[in-house]
Amino acid sequence: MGVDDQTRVLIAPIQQLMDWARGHSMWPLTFGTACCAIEMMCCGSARYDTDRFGIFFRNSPRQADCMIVAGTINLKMAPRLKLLYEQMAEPKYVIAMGSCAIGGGPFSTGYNVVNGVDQIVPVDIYVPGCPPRPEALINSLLLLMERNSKGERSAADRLVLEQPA
Amino acid sequence: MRTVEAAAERIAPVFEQLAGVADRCILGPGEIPCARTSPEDLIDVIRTLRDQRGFTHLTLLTAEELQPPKPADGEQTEAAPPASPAGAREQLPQTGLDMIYGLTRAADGTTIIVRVALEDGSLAVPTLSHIWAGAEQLEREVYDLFGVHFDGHPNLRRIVLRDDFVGHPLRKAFDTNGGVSSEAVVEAVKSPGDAPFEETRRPNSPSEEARLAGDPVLHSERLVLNMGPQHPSMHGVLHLWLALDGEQVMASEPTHGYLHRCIEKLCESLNYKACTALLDRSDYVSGFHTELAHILALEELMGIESTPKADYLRVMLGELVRITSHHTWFAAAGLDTGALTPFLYAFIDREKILDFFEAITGARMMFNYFRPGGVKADMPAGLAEEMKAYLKTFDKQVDECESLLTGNEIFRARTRGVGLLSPQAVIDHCVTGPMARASGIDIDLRRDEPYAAYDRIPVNVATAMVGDTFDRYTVRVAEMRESARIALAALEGMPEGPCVNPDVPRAIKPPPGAAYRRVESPRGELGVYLVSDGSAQPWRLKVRSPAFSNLHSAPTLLNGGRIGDVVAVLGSVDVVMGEIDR
Ligand code: SF4
Repeated sequence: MGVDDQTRVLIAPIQQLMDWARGHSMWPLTFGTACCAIEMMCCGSARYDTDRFGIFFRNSPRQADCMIVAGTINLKMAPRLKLLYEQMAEPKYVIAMGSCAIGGGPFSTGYNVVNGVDQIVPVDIYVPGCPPRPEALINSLLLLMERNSKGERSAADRLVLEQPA
Repeated sequence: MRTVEAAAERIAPVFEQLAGVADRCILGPGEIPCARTSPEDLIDVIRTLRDQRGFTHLTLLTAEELQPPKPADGEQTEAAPPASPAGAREQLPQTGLDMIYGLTRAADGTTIIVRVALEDGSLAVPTLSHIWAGAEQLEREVYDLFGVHFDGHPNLRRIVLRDDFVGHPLRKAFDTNGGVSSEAVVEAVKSPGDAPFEETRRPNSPSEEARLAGDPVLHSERLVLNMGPQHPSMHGVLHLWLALDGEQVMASEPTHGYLHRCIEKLCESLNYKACTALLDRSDYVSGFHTELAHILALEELMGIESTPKADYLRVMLGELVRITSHHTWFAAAGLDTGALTPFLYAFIDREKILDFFEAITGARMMFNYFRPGGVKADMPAGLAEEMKAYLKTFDKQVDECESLLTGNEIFRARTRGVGLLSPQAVIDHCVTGPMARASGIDIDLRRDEPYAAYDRIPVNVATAMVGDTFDRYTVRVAEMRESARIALAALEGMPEGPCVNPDVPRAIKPPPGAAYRRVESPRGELGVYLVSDGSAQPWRLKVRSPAFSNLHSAPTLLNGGRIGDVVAVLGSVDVVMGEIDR
């Protein structure tokens, strides 16, 4: 990026500009299903206040950049998760919050629980804990934004790019 | 402690009347009176109990697989069936199912269990859905998880599992195969897995025909709306079917199961202490209450008592967690009616209490703190003073929160006279907790069936008369204040002494039997029905979920109302899906 001295116009490759923008605001979709969702709510509340990082929770997948899967996903919920993910606009990111989203957590041997959302959608960041503390979730969002500002690709993109032609 | 003799005396005339249709037996060491009957006589027994003996509250409806008779010890356990004549069958012992019904008499709090033995092969029993409307959904759950058929049931479909699920998982013969395979997940993602809403399936309001003159589709403003399971104000993964005519809700039905996590089945393979950890996660905004109900039932089975100090700690933490649960509800109540600020205020206060939880138990939400005979550890030194100072100023914080909503004209206009629940509907739908109290039904287990230290700490029960959304709001706000008062009283009256009974054995293996204990959770009557077969794992653990019954009363609140009120009314039910689906 640089400023042209005569015209005072900012000149940069469009990709860099977009990376810069994506690195400074991340709008997650509130996809809270279980206990972890309560901790996700805490993130948006007064003490943790994610708004100060440009993180605003959105209720519609069309407006969201990343999906925080906060809670257990079971076989009945799985198709909805996929549907919502597909409704999000590119580039899209997924954060698996809590042991349940990572690998079924304490319910992994149950007859109805999906053992990890990465079986359904590509996951960018895993946040361990049961439930993870709000600080951990905020950290993951900051990490995601940092990656974006460096121009790193989302897990979904990498999946496409790394596919053998 | 409950006086067993007095209870036995009260129940004696009931059994005299039931002679001929039911046999008297005793359930477990808690000596809960139990009537054993057959599917043919069930309706008779239930009608007698309900209509003539005042047992109007259906507290428990579940099934339990019978334990295989143990030839090693000659003694028959209470739950085991009389040795079946078909003993010739080899391999796995052929076991049957028992239906378990729990009925409570409001007048004196007596509970009676009705057991109905079903034969394997014809798992059929008459439905109770025409006696209690709330039984309809409870029976659907038993059908889903056990495969019991309810004769005459209007709507016997799966309720928590996918429609294409194979098998009935709470049967002992069901093999979980160590979890769900990734192939099964790939398959599941392909289709939604629950039946679409059939508009005609439910009876509509009587004025319907009149309105629908002409072409039923063209000349109406008919619309079927699916709210959820992912909806910003659905309070978790609840799915609501709404049939609308213009603005008006004609019919509605909650569907759930999007958070069914096999807790009851998993508990059957965990030791008793480990169950606490899973139960924490079932009602995740008030974990202490599910823990407590389980531990109380376990203590009853083992015949041990907790220490006085632990009793007070249990009361104190139970009340604090009630406050945080109501904070969450309060935040949502504001959001549901379009106000964001209550959310921010309520969560400031909630965080302060979570700090106390963290200091005491080490966790913000998943406490795993209660143990048979007491609690895990004492409070850190000096914390009690800090908490007392905080609780003394608590009223001011509630005032501050209330100033945002109680007098707010918009809030009042949106909640008063909306979502009315009549006292009769409370009984029909087995509604409990603040929802029942807001409709003028004065029940509270803390007062009526004191557990832990509630027999030493008086509880003032808040009630209201109208039963609308606003009343449910005022009752809960009053409860927050009362809970702070009780927690303070528990802190101040807390005796010195050990936090856990030293006589509790290291290996928890209760003698065979069953127990049913209930606590007053923020949503109402939360019970745990626990059956032991003498091993280190429970044979059956059933959670009586208050939110389940409360949620299924929602159609009576919503039907006939306006679409715009749906969210506000549903918010006032205060559902926690983890506890409903389990
Ligand atoms: S990871 Fe733990 S806290 Fe989070 S949803 Fe699963 S059980 Fe609940």
